[in-house]
Amino acid sequence: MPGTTDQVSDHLLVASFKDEKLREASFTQLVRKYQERLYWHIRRMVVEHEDANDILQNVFIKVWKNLDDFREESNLYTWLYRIGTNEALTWIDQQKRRKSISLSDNEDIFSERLQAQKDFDPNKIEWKLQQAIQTLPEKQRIVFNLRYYDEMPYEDMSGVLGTSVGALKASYHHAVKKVQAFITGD
Amino acid sequence: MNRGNEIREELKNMGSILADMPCAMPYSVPEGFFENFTGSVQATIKYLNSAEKVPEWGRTMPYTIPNGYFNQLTGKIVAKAIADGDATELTKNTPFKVPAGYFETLPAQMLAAAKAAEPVTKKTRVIPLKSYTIFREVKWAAAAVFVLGICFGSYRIFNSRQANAEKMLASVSSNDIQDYVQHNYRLDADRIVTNKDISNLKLDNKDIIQYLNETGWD
Repeated sequence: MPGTTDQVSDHLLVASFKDEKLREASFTQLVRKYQERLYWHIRRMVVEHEDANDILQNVFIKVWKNLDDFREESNLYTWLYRIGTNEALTWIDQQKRRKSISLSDNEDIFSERLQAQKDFDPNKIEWKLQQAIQTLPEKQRIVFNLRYYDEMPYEDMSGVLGTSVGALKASYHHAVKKVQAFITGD
Repeated sequence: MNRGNEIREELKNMGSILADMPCAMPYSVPEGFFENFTGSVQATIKYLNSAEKVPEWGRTMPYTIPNGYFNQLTGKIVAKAIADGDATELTKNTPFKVPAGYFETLPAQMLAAAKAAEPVTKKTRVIPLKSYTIFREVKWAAAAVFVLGICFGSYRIFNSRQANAEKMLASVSSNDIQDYVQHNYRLDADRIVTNKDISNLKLDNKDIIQYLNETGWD
């Protein structure tokens, strides 16, 4: 996660984006800097690469259109994660409406997608962990992923999800317990 | 302490086995995806920008058409279709069939359905202000009667005990009362006399009786 140096460089990226002559170059740098992190955050939610790619494209198009209006009240990467999370959730909602699936069916759909992934092996711990994560409620899944994989501080997570730090800590704690129970078969 | 250790420590404090598990994602990514992604986003943005900036050249078509062309077009097409045998005489009638008597019974059915769907409206109960005021006055009067009743009842109960006691006493003869007093006096007096402090006073029994009569035999 970005430290002070990163925040300075993010500020420079935002400032240079607002300059017409530097816009494309700064945008290219921004995409290169955050594409992998955002990609994996989205992919953990939607599982399929093609869907993650589509959503990620939408995210950066939104960034291109709205970075001029970004007031830097939050960190750039918090803002990017917020857009990424919302785009992924919107996509998931659209899929649910298209297929008229309920919440519980939603969990099954993503479990099926998981099992259809290349090299899927339920005996390997990293796949089992993904299966465990898919059993979590939507928001709790996001909290777990942001903390466990992205190592995001709770304060930044609060900015991304609009939830209090205390609630996030509780949610993460419960998520860890559930994931562990799934893995150990309890 | 770097961020990775913080997460691991947090999991250890929870007593979770996840603290020692590998963090790698098992998903595969197409080769060269991240190298090419920036370019593809830029291309998409360029395309969107160019589509948004459609130049305003006007939309008037320069071609001319014969007078009344569109007015006659439909008739010509129908005639041609009939001549070619591709279509029977076209009419404006729709081919759908309607059950016999459908339109005759429809109004009644609609009325019944509308009535069935009507929400049950409760008559709002109107409480006239006058009766509410009367009710309030009656309420206070009832409370006053209740309190009076308790007071009267209590008076009767406590007084009647005394009256009963007096009545009972009145029914006993003076001789019986005297015998009773003397019998009890003797016992009380004996008790008092055996008390050393009192016996030192050298009191007469009559003094004791008088004392007891004045202060009570309890």
